[in-house]
Amino acid sequence: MAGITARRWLCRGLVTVGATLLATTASAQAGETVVRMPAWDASGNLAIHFFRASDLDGGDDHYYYDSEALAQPGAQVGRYVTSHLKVELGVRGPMQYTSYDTIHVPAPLPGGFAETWVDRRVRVVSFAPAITWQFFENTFMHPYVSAGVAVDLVDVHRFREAGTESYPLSRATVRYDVPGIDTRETVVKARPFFAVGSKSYFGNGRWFVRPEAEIGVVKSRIGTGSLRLGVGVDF
Amino acid sequence: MTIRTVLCLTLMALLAAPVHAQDRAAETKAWQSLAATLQPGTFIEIRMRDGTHFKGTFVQRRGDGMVVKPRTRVAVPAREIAIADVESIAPARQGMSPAKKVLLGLGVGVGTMALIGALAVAYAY
Repeated sequence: MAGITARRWLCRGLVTVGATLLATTASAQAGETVVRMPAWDASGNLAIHFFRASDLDGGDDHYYYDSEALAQPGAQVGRYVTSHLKVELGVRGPMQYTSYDTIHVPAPLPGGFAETWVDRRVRVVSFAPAITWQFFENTFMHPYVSAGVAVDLVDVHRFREAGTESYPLSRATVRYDVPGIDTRETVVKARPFFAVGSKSYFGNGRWFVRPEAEIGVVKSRIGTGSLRLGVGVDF
Repeated sequence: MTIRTVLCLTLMALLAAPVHAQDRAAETKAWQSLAATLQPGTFIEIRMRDGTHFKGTFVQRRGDGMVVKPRTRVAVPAREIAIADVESIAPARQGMSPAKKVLLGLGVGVGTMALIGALAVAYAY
């Protein structure tokens, strides 16, 4: 269900961005101005991304051990609709981390089962269509605000080698088999995000750095945060 | 408000207006004198009477105006400005680009954090 909703969000986002790009190309050709501003920009970036693993990959919530802060590379391309309004598409990742799930296996113990764990190796790639409003015109520094929807494609590899584990009881140690596990699934999740930042140019007026702070909404609360620094060029 | 009050206010406004106009004419003349002393190529900041302001390079004086090339990211044509529209002219300097300032700030921030971290580790052992 969540996957279908996320795909729908991604499709809508991409269609909106695509339609706007086509429309703006036509309008840019029609409205010739004296000063020709670059219509596109592209940048690469690196972020520190803060999130809860269980929100992202659907695994167990380990409370105190669930928060992650990982480096996340990315790239972004934008097209100006007006001198203030821009549509953008960002690709973020891959970002990888390892978590674990608690599972129950049959064992000759009170209750009939024992608790053990399975590794979760998670790899995340995100697509983030966004709309950005930048302040000022033709200056060397443009603060901006941005809003969009990040669609996270989360590849979850659950893995555990088969083996035997033991559990010490008062009279004897109980041994039981743990089956091997090797499964893969892709979870698709969508989260709205809001960002503020600035496009700060070097003296040549084409190359810029782009510091940015972003928050993402997950389950009706602020669930993710990112501090990002990009370097890019107008063209 | 009585008719007398309205008349008083109107009279005050009428009397004040010529004084203000005289002040403005004198100020314009002063700015013209200053503009005459500017060397072509001087980097200046201009504030206009309409509240706008910009920085640019003084190109030349032309009649009751002057030609200034605004300092913008994408080059724009030089502007001819009537000195009567000028609120103030001040020399400016072309500082570091915003991008360099951001990188410098980031470098200082990261350096400070690294220093604090190193000191914390050093005192911990």
